[in-house]
Amino acid sequence: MNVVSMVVNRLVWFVPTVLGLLAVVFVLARIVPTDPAVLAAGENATAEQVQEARERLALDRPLPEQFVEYLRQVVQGDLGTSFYTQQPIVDDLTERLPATLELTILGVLAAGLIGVPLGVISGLNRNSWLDHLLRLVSVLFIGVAPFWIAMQLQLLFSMQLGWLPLSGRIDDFAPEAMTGFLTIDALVAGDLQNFLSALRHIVLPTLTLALPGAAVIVRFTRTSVVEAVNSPSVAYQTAMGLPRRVIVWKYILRLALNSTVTQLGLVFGISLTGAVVIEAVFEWPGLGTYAVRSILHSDYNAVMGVTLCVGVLFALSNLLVDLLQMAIDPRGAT
Amino acid sequence: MATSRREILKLGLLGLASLAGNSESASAQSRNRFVFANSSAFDSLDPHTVFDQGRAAVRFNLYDGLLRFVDNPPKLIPWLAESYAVSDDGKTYTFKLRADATFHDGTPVTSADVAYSIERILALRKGPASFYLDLIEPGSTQTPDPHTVVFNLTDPSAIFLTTVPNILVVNSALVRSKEKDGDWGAGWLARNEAGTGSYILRRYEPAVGWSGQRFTNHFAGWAGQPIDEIEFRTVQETNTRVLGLMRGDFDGADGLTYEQIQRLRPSPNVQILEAESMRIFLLALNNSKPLMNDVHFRRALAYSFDYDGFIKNIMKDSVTRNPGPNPVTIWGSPPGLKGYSFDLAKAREELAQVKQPLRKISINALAGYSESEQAAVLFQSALRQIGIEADIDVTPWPVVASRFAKAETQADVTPVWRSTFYVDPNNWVGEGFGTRYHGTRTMSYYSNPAFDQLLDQALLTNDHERRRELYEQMSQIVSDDAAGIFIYNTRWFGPYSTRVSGIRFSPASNGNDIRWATMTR
Amino acid sequence: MNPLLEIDDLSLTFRTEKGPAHVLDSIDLTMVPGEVVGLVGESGSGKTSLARAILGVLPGAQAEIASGRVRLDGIDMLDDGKATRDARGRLVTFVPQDPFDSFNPLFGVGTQLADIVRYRAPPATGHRLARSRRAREAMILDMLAAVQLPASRDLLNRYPHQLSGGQRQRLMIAMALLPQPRMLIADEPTAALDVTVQVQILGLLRRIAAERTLAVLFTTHDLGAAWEICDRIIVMYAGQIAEILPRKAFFAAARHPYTRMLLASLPKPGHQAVGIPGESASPLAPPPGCRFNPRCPLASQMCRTVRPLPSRSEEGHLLACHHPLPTAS
Ligand SMILES: Nc1ncnc2c1ncn2[C@@H]1O[C@H](COP(=O)(O)OP(=O)(O)OP(=O)(O)O)[C@@H](O)[C@H]1O
Ligand code: SF4
Ligand SMILES: [Mg+2]
Repeated sequence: MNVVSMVVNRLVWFVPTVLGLLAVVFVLARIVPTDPAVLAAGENATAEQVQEARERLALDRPLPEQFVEYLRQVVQGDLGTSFYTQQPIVDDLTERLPATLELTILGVLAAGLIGVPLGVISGLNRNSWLDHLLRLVSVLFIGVAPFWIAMQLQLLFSMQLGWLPLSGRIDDFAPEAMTGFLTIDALVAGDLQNFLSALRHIVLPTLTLALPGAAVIVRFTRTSVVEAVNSPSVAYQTAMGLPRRVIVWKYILRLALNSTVTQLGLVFGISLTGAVVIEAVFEWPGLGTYAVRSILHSDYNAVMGVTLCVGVLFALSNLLVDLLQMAIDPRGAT
Repeated sequence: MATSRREILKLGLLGLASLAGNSESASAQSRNRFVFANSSAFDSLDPHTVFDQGRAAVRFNLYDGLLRFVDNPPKLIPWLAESYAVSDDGKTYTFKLRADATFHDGTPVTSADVAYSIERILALRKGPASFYLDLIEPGSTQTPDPHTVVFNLTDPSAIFLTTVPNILVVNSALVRSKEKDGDWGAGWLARNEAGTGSYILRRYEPAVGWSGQRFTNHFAGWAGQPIDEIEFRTVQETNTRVLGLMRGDFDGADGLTYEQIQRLRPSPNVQILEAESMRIFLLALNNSKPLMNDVHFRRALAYSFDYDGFIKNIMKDSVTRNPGPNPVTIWGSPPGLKGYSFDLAKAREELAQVKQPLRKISINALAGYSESEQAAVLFQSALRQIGIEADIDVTPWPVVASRFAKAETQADVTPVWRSTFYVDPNNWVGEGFGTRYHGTRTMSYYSNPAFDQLLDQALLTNDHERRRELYEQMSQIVSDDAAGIFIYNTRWFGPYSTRVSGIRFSPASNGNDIRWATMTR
Repeated sequence: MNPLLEIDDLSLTFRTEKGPAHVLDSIDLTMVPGEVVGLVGESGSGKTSLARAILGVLPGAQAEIASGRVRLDGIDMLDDGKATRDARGRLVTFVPQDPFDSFNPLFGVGTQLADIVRYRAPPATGHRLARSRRAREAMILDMLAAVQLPASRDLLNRYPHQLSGGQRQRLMIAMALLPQPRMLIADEPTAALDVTVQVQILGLLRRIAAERTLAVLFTTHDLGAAWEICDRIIVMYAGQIAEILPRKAFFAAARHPYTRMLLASLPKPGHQAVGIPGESASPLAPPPGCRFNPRCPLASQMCRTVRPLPSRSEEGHLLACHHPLPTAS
């Protein structure tokens, strides 16, 4: 498959997936016992004002018609207005997206940095005590709820040891945003204090996010390392007396990474959904806290906006992973 | 080779140490800065549309009103206005403004700003607007001179004065310049500030919170060693608020349960302030529904709640029994009002007098508030003993609120709190049970002509003793009719850093009024 | 001439789930420098195991040397010492059966060749910077010419899947030659190739062996191929050496019943190939005595109890059979 047809294929699948997702959220939003027209009309609204809001938002029309209308707006880049913040949802989302992206991307990177070496060690020392321990730990991390991990990390690193901040994204307020990625912004601005502050704040959320992803990567890397170790090419290189370190850290690692990359989409998904859950614990000002707030306030426009945003992110990340895979596997792009 | 590797290692460790070591960094501790962990999010800073307790900090610190509530029991003191006069017919309120007050940008405060502010409240119809929508006609407020403002009420209103602190004054010239498509500057004021308040908005991020810097030129002047910088951070996760207080990250927090307060007590960084407050917890009954409209049925319900058990076992005695519709801490309840006790025999007697067929009743508890949910469960099990089945539905506050908007949608029973919006019995018994508040601030859809007549009188007269009598009578009626089931009055527990002193608590501001406080450096 | 490879009484057992598999049984073999030896036998007869023993890459967890030793230029290849590790891939190199699988699919072939040169080849002589990249590349390009591949960088930049089977196997041979070994083990080097390419590769091996005085141990199923290029042919059956024949005697002088059956099964013009009747002996429960006895028409009571010892019948011809057939007339 070449790049173009792969991208086209992904996009073709993307549309119905997002449509389906939106439809589900749309229906869910309409069966909650809150009247969106009342919410939209605001407090102290008279019955006429509520009715006016109902008509303005087309809430009096049949559900499918409303859905089509919603889609028409989405296509024009309009996700509606949040009942709660009274802001265009697009603005709300763009304000909060960088925080979540920064966290998720770092989380995926950290998952790789933790997971790959451990997976390699585990795979090379198959059935050693270390391997068994790592497998046990990774099963635990995959199974355990992320917010539990988050709270344990907080208790250890913030409360017991006092090394890292408990919550938030930075001491004080963030400097003016360029990319919205605080660590990068501060670095570019040469602002060491803010850089360190942002870095210290992101460590625990990143770790929380990374651990389940790392666990997946450990397991997967282990399998692919075992496979690589037993592969004919490694047998050949061994027979040719190539130093073990070259075989392991160059050839086996590359083989293992190649298949690990296929899991990055999954890990990104884990991290993204993890972010939504743990942002609340760390008071991370991103999409997750926004989603929680929107759900609590029955702000169904906002809930749909977040859903759409996360769906698009997820699809994009999968596309990127596919492209990456093609780029790094010479057999992929012919 | 070996040395250079060691060097790199050293550098790396150093980097790690600098990352981990100085978590108590310069920022929070050395400056005179007060950081509050706020359980609600500051999604908007508009003082005329946001009107809940959770986000009161904006109103009390960035803005000022003509009058201000301080202390406990609450006292109304002159603020932007230095004096006021009420006409004999009780319909005209004339306020004299201080001459020395300025907005944060230096513009002097004039009567035009006050007039603009009330017009803005009326036009936006949100937040405090419900106090004024039926009372003040748009355009009726007069400004005879720059320091005089005259409110012309459509009817006399005894409670108008206690709502005046909510008319927060915005810089009309500034807001006007930001108006867009006749929005009264709503888009701009949601994210910016145009007040006279004790603090000037320094930074605001909806997702994070806001911070303010002391307004040294504030008209009220400054005494002692006030706090120079305040920061209200949204910290939605309760556990994080608790841990942050223990760690000293936060100097104050709200929204903690009694158990969490108890958990904080041993912490050397934390002090717990306590005060009587005015926030009652009740089972709001929808009096308009079939069966619920029978006084005997309601009394049967009122005898079926285990008040003492709830206060003792679930609230751990952190609250006091409040038998009537008004908080025991305010006037307006008859002396010795007994209310109801847990007595299933009496409940059965009352039930025997019910003519309508019995049915299953609905209880709508507040999601995320364990007291509300526990009260619902406790009530449900007691009702089962007298042969009444109940369904419990747990929904978040906005759902409850939107159900309250209509008699048809309000659940039969809703365990809920009633806070202080203004300090007058009318805030509780008047609004909760008067027919005139149906669809707006009612908690009962209770309708009783005798009651309404008393209420009308109480709103018309400014004679305090007369009003006391009237509200006492109203309370008695509500109690006799079991129009609601009143359980307890909240005690306020304010967890603060031990570095903070001088928090001036008032049930109106709930500890959000920071200008009086001091911090050791 | 001093022997290069000496294998004495080598017996090898694999631990398997079904019990020990006696894969090699008392193998004796010597090779001198420059000699090309063919190792012929049915699938499972132990050819690859023997090759791996010589390379010292038996799977440590399963393989157990029951007896014997393998020495290459005096170095014990069953040892795990530095001398052995140095010898592997330098003194003795390897051409695998499947050149496609033996390349790492994710690296350009140039990289893989370069690593062989970098870690296994002696420094190039004549270059000022003998260990430089340039020197390595020059060595590789020279070697490409030697294995009759276009000496181009373009070829080196390709990935394994972008090359033909023949090209890949030539590269494998190039890799085996780059360390300038004294012995080369080619384990069925042409099995994965089609016939015309097979012939070319075999010719190449033969020529290179002669040019470089390279000892080659060449395993194959294909008697014809062995006969084409080998000085000696070893016939193995179920881990035992049945007969060792000099090339010229192969068709004429073979006397072991198994060798004769193999020869008879060779496809003749106008005839289909005929297999040898019966199942190959299982190394899990090898028949006692001569392992071929269950399938041998001449088997006697002695064959079923006493293992026939190899005996030299004439120069270079070794035979392990109690009842050898008379020389074909
Ligand atoms: N790692 C191992 N563990 C257990 N048994 C093995 C192992 N490797 C090989 N064997 C067994 O040893 C015997 C000889 O195998 P070997 O691969 O040496 O034969 P071969 O002559 O090379 O066969 P082929 O012509 O199929 O390559 C076979 O029965 C095989 O199953
Ligand atoms: S020893 Fe006996 S069984 Fe073995 S090949 Fe010779 S005759 Fe056949
Ligand atoms: Mg083989």
